[in-house]
This record gives sequence, C-alpha cells and structure tokens, in this order.
Amino acid sequence: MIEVIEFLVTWTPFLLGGFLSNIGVTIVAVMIGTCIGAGLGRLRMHQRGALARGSEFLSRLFRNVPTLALLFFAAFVLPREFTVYGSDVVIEIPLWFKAALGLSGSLIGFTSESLLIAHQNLKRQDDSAVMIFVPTWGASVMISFIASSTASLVGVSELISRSNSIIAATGTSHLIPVYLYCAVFFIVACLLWAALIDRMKTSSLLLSLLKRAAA
Amino acid sequence: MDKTTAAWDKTSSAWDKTSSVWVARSTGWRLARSALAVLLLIGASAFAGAVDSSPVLNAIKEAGAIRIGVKTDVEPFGYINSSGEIVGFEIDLAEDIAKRLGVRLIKVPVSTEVRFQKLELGEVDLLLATVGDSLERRKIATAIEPGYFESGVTVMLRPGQRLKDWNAVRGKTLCALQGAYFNRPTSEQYLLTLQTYKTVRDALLGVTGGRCDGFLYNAPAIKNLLKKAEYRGYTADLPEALVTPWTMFLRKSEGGKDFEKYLGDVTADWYRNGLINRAASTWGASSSRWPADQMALWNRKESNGKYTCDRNDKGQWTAECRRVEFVKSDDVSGLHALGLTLKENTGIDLSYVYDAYDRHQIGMGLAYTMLLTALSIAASLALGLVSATLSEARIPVLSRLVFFVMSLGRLIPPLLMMYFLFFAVGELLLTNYEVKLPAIFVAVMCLAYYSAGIIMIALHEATLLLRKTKPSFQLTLGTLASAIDHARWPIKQALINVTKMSMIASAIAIPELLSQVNLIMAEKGNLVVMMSTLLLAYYLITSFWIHAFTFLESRFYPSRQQS
Repeated sequence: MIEVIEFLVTWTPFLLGGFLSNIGVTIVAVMIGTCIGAGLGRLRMHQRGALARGSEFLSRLFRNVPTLALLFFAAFVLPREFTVYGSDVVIEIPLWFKAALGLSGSLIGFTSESLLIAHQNLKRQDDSAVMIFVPTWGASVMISFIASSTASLVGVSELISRSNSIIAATGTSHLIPVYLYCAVFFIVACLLWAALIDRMKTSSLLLSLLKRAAA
Repeated sequence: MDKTTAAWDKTSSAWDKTSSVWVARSTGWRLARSALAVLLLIGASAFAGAVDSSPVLNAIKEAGAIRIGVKTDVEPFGYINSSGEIVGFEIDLAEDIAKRLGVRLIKVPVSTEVRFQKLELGEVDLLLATVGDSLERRKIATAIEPGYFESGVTVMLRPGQRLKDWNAVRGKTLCALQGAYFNRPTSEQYLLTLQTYKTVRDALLGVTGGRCDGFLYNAPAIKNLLKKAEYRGYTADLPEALVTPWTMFLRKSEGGKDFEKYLGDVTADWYRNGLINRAASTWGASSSRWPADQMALWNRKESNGKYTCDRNDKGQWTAECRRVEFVKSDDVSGLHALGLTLKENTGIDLSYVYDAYDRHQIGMGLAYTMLLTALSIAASLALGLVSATLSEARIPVLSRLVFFVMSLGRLIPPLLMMYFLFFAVGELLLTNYEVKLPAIFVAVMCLAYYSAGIIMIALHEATLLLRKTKPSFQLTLGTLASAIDHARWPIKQALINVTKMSMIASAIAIPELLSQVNLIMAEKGNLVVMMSTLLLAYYLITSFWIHAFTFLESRFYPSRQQS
C-alpha cells in the first residue's frame, strides 16, 4: 500500500503537467467553439437565404460529427505550418492547438443551436428560459473537457497518455491505482466546474451579456 | 422527338471532336515527353552525380537540428531506459547522423500507426523507427537504400501452446500493431484473426491479459521480450517469415535529392567502418543472418579494388546490393475499374472501392460501429432508468449509494474507464479467476456508465419538477413514463452523445470504423481521402441515429414534438 502511494507521489508532478494540458486544450477549444458558434448562431438569426442556410448546415455538421473524428481530421489533415499570404512569415500549428480545434467542433454546433433557442425565448420575454443557456453550456464544456482525454490517441501528452507512459516505462503492476488516481483528477475538476456553473446560473452580468448576444 | 435526336447528334459529334482533340494533344504530349526524357538522359550523363539539393537538408542546416522520428517502446531498438532517456540501437544510429551533419538531434517519439503521417506532415525530418521496407511504403515515402537492419516476423505464443510451423497458426487470434506491414500478408496467408492495438504496450497487455493466443511482431523485438522475467514460459519457435530490410524513410518529395543519397552513403559507411556491427552487439540487435550477410556484402571488393556495392552513373547502387524482394502486400485482385480510373486521373485514392481487402475492412468496421452503438444505446438507457428508479425508491443506503456511484460516471472519461476495465481489471480477473472480459462488453459498459449517469440526473430533475405541481409524486416503474416525458430532451442528447463516442472503442482493439480507416491509411497513405470518408461516414451514422430517436419519440409521445 505504502509502495503504491510512493509510486503515485513520485509521478504526480508528471501527471499534473499532463492534466494541465487537458485543461489548457479545453479552454482554447471552448473559446474557439463559443465564438465561432455564436457567430454562426447570429448569422442564422439575422440573415436569410444562402448565408443562413450555410450556417445552419455548418452548425449541424459540427454537431453530428464525433469529436474524435474531428480530432483525427485536425491532427492529420491540417498542415503543420503555413506561410502568411504575401509575406515570409511562417506560422507553426502545434499539435495541442490542432487538438483544441478538433475539440471545438461540438461546441460550435452546440453554441449555435442553444443561442437560437435563447433568441426565441428572449422574443417571448422569458428571462429565466434565456438563462437555461448557462447550465447547458456548462454541461457541454464538461463533455468537451472529458473528451480532451481522447487527444492522447493523436499523440498529445495529456493525463491519460502520461499515465500510459509511466505504466510502459516503469513496467509497474499497479495499473488499477494509476488509472483510479487519474479518474480522481477528472472528478475533482468536474465537480469544481459544476459548482462554478451553479453560481453563474443566477449572475445578472451573464444575463445581460446573453441578452446582447441573443438579441 | 426530332429535336432531341438532333440535339443528341450535336452533342455526340461535339464529343467526338473533343475526344479527337484530346487524342491529338495526348500524342503531342507523348512526343514532347519522350524528347524531354532523351534530353534529361543526356543531361544526366553529362552531369553524372549532380543531384538537386534537398529542402529538408537545407532546413536542418538552417535550424541547426535534425528531428528524427524514433520508437520509444521497442527494446532494444528505441525505448525509454530507467533514467527516462530514449536509448537503443536506432538511437545510436540517429546520433551518428546528427554528429556527421554537425547539428543537434531531436528525438521525436512516433508510433507505428501514425509515423508516416508525421513524416508527410513534416513533424519529423526522417524516420528511423523500425520501419520495414515495402513496395507499398515506397509509394508514400522515400526509402533510403541500403537498410540498416533486417528482420522477419514471428509469433510469441502464450505458455503451453507450442506450434511447430506457420501452418499450425492458421485460424489463431493474435495481438498485433496497427500499421505493421506484415499484418495483411500474414493474416491473408494464414487466416489469422488480428486484434490490432495502437502501441506495443497495449498489444502486450492484450497478450498477457489472455485476449489473444500470441503476439505477431518483428522477430528481434520478440527475442528481446522473451528474455524478460514476465514472459517466462512464452515461446517463439516459428521461423522468421517475410524477412525485410529496415530502412530510414524521407518524405516522398525528397526522392532523388542529395539528402537521400547522403543518407544512403552514410548507411553504407556504417557497414564499412564497423559502427553498425558495434551498435548491434552493444544492444543485442541481430536476426538469423544479419548483420553477417550485409557486412560481407558491403565490404566485398572487386578485382579492380573498388567496392562491389558502388553507385552507378545514375546514382543507384549496383543491382546485387539492392533488395528488391519486398513484401508485396498490394495484390490488387478484384480490381474495380472505377476506383483505379479515379485514382489515375485525379489522384484520389478511394482504395476501398477497388481493393477487396480494404472494402471488407471498411464493411466490417461499419458493422462493428453500428453494433457497438446499438448495444451502448440500449445499455445506457436500461442502466439509466434502473438507477433512476432505484435511487428514487428511498431504500436505506442503497438508494443513496446508487445515486452517488452513478453520478460519478459522467465525470470520468470513457477512454480512461476502458483502459481501467480492459487492461487493469481484465488482467486481474484472468490471473485470479480465468475470466476473460470481451472487448465489446467493456466498451459497451463504459459508454453506458458514462451516459447512464446523465440520464439518471435528468430523470431526477424531472421528478423534482413534477413534485412542484404534485408534491406526492414518486418515481416508480409505473410513473417512469411521465418522468421520461419531461426529460426527453436531455435523454436524447445523452444518447446522441453515445453514438458519437463509440469510436473511442478503437483504443481497445475493437475493429470499428476508426480502427479500420487508420489501418488502410497506414498502408495506402491516402490520408485526406480516408479522413474525409471518416467524417462523412460518421455524419451519416449520427444523422441515422438522430432520425431513429426522433422516430421512436414520435411513436411513444405522439402529442408533443420537441426538436
């Protein structure tokens, strides 16, 4: 037992580093996904014709394609670097950023859908229904956070990939404690996030922000 | 009637015209091309040895560093030692290359499955990662001749099942690695069922966990595994099959450039200055004939004092020093004209259209995906409803316990659950109780545990909502229907999420669509086409299930439709 604890303590900094990249990738994905999704949602509210239909199709595409498929697509089809048009500036796309792009897909689809629903509720002057956006958005962020673990399958050095690395490198027989320990990281982070969302549900600042976005 | 015929005539004559123009142009082009070829030939003989400079080499020199893709899980070729460094036979060779170029060495860990993608994307400059040479691979990348090692494939069998020759392996289930060149020829020839994993570690956990009868892998790595205490009793007596040189690989566009020639000369020099022999004995890397055969060949001299293996005026090695007996794994039997015509004319390689083997793989992947999804949906729903009723039943301890355990599910990544159940618990069950957990059972249970928690909480919230209007409301099997009515939207979302998550199961060797697509990509290198196919296929699969859910919803709750 003490041996197991010593083993886990030894590797905690290494695992924690991996977990930080889960969090980092998720934050970037949420930012990209929410912004693009809100943009698509607004196009659907205020435009007619091809533009509205195009953004509706894109929203549905991102909603229906699994995150892992987008992740593989982003990791292997997007170029590693590109040259800014008309200049010599070469911009490199790191793997974790590609993973964030892949993860952002479901958030794009989700934000666009939910904003549209909030827009309809706003028309009916139903403020509490507008705020439903917050817990559902919080839940979809949590799903993306959980899905960030699949970035290990394309080679991002996050928590699960690091736990597999230490299992392979040390040849340890403590597979069960290592995996359970990793689960604790996710559980704690998710519970903290859920508590935060619970507070945000009644925030008046968020309500006014949402009203502007869905207007 | 007349009008249409006339119109038809017009178009067909126009067609004739364009096709004759096309023919004329193509003969013209052919002439020009042969003229060009003659010119090039003259040019080449006049400037024998002059080759284009390599963009990759220039970039390496500019950066002062070379990024070499290496293995980190194949002892003794490339692995992580006890102090956390990447070391091995191939690492010694990589270090020599960096030293000769006078640049820093960056070791980039690559896996069998994605190494060629990383090369093509430019994430590594060079692959030195246990890659066996094959005609297939030469289509997607540039092989450096000669090889720096050679090996065949063999099978490491679990204790107590000695097999004397390859024919006795027929029909066995073996663990293997996604993307290994010998998977397809051996599975076709010996009718093997292969479970392909993403890393050597996972494949070995599959073997020790009793998921397969043995491990199909390169012979030297297996020989090394057998030395370890944990594989006592394991055997690998089959003769090496499909003996192939291991070569370094550069990107396809590097073919014929100076870096390719440079690396070939370096390899030849390794045989001549003895570096390769020293590294091989340091790390214990050898196969039945190697390195003795190649040492003799590359050091042999002709009567005029020149090496037998020398570059001719086209820059190629003497014929007898080249290995051309590559494994031919692309017997394109069952050719379908459509796929090949498309490939020749547009470069789009829809290999699953013309290649029967690939088509079978994709078909099987699709079938597994649908089966897995259907089972997971059923299990999620059942588990969610049962745990909701139990947790609301007010049974002392049990109700609270069910609620607590099930609400943890949505907080843990299903991938982590699968590794836990499949490898960690699976091994424990096998060694102590000789119980083998089927992979598909593991995947379904993990996906169900993840989603059932969401369904349970949705029903719990619906119950609270119903109590506002009817305080005596109690969730039982009888009142479940009205609670589901209020929780339809979140339940549907949870089930849609299940269909989207089924592809995670590829991590535990279930041959679903993602696994199969990766397999074909690793062999054919038709990356963009296969990835786009994957996106499209999953878009259609998810749409199918969404329609199915909406249909069922309208059957059970016809009154109010919700989007």
